[in-house]
Amino acid sequence: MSEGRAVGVPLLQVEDLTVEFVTEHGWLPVVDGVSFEIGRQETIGLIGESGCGKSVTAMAILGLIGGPSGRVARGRVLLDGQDLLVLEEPELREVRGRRIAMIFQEPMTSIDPAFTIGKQIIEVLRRHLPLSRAQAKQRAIDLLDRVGIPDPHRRFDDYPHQLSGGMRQRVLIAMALSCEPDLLIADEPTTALDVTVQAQVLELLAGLQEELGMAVLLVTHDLAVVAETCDRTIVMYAGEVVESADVTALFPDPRHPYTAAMLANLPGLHPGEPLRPIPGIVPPRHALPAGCWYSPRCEHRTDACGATHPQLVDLGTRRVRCLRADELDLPGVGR
Amino acid sequence: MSGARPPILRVEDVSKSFPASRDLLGRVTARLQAVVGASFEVAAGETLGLVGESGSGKSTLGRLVMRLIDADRGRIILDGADITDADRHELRAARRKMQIVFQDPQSSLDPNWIVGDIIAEPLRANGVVKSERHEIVARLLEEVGLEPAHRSRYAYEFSELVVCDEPVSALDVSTQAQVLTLLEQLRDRLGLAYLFIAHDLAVVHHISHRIAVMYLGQIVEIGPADEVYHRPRHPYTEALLSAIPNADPAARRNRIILRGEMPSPVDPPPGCRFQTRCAYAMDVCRTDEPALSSQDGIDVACHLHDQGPTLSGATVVDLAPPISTDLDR
Ligand SMILES: Nc1ncnc2c1ncn2[C@@H]1O[C@H](COP(=O)(O)OP(=O)(O)OP(=O)(O)O)[C@@H](O)[C@H]1O
Ligand SMILES: Nc1ncnc2c1ncn2[C@@H]1O[C@H](COP(=O)(O)OP(=O)(O)OP(=O)(O)O)[C@@H](O)[C@H]1O
Ligand SMILES: [Mg+2]
Ligand SMILES: [Mg+2]
Repeated sequence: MSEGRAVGVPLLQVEDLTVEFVTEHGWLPVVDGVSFEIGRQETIGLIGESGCGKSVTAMAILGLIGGPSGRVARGRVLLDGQDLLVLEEPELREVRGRRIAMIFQEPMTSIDPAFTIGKQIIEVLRRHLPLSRAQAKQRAIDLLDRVGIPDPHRRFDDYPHQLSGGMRQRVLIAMALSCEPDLLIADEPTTALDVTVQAQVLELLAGLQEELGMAVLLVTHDLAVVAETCDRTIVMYAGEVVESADVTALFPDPRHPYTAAMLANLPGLHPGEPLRPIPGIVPPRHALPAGCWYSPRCEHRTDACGATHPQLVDLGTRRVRCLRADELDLPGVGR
Repeated sequence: MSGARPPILRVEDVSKSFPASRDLLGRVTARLQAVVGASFEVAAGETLGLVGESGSGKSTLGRLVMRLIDADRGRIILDGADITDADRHELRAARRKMQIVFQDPQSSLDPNWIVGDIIAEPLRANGVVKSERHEIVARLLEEVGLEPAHRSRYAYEFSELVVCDEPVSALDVSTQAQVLTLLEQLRDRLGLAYLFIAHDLAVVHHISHRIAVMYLGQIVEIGPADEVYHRPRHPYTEALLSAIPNADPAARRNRIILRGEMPSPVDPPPGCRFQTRCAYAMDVCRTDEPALSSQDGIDVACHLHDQGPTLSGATVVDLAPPISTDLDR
């Protein structure tokens, strides 16, 4: 899967991505000038409160924003240097599934209840690869085995409702990985699962990632899952990136008050101490506050924060969007 | 917590099964054991956390306590009164003392709904008119987080027991923290007792005084929250704890990953229900069902504590780490 790979270019570059939707207040951006890169075989965690634009970012990378109510207003999504946003649907479909695969959280899932899981995997395989029916079936059974479905020959003929939630998620992973993609986008892949099953699925993903040498973009609101599985984290707030850094740097030493506040919300990190919830909610796009968008909820705000919207400053090993990033000493994890 | 005051809730050996399949004539051919012989108490003002994997019987137990469904066996005693066989009239009185809070995905971004369920509903049952209910709820909401007040400031009788069924499971961390904090403040302010159902052990540990762990319909361990969380006695509790992701990247560690899935409650395994996935299983575990035995205020149902080289109530964490097993694969 390495054809056309430009030397020295990151696998994926998202540049100034801006996605807008029609609302009662007109076209409003919900993803606003987002830029980041994903290196080959890297695992990136995309985190932030509900509604901050994580899923829309993921959908935009896959070219899934469109129709009368949504548009990519600005930006580029470069896969091996090639802009996906200018591709026509047939080419895009070739990229999706083959080079970039996706797993979504259960409810909006991509398993069709009307067909056996075997039939569905074969269909994905034959859409992208020149395989005979028999070859595809053999490969599908191998895949089911690889994702840890017991007795794959028998399970091949099962319908989705005959499987538990954990097994369905394994089938989704099997489908997503059937063409050995370079990048897997997983949007809340374990949120609907028990912790025990989540641990199984995350272990499976990590193993397969190593085996296949793919990169992963993990979208989640579970910071602990990111800490355990990712190399790097991107924190979003109200459609913008507010901080990004290596996991080993970000969690012990957050520089943006929002990142620190989210960590302080985790039960179990500081036993015996009360949680310190962030007051209020993420502001809606039509009513953004002046200055820093997080400032009304921020315990470290100053007058300047309400006046100037901070830039995302590149500090080399991290990027952070806070006027006071240099002077604040924020508590993190494990210190 | 369980001291001089009588418990607000006592559950004695309660079981519940559901029809799992029927023949052509509609006769039940197999039954599913959703809850098997559950016993526990909740003291006034206490929070008992109830954890376990999906399908372990947590919600069924919560609904049994609320008398939303009838038990096959056992007794449910609310504030000293046996409500197991209470009729509709008696139940209406009992329901003034207890509430259930479900997770409501529609309004899950708004912690106010919890206040609505816990406060407004009992007020309605007490015959308080709507406009006044709104006012009281608004005032309470405003006051939560301000200086402590006494429950007697409110002339109304609030629920004494609230069953919270997964109230924060689908929320992101910040909303979850808001709701948990609100629940704690309401509890401390109104003297509520909670039966707090969740599958997230870190959340349950945070809010609970005691924790009960369920597996396949049975309570396998119950004890003070810190004990269960830090020194689990049952191998299943240990595995559940080990599966919790840790937000400290420096603490990435080897976990005990449970293989396979929970067996079907229609056809539970013989002996100990956990034996098919237990890394420490001995011969006796495959044949004899362990009884719940009590030591230092902690109840555990596991042969490691009463057979062979015995743990006798010590934590299973100190046992030699189990060899990785692939029982179900
Ligand atoms: N098709 C759409 N039309 C209009 N608005 C949309 C559409 N899809 C998403 N939005 C809005 O865009 C914002 C960002 O949504 P997005 O789904 O990306 O959030 P998220 O970060 O993934 O949140 P969650 O954690 O809840 O999944 C939200 O305010 C959402 O209501
Ligand atoms: N009304 C019912 N009829 C038949 N089976 C039922 C009924 N209610 C529950 N069950 C079964 O009883 C068992 C226990 O279910 P319950 O909902 O109590 O589990 P739970 O621990 O709350 O799980 P979850 O974490 O998924 O909410 C499951 O096998 C479930 O399928
Ligand atoms: Mg989303
Ligand atoms: Mg339930």
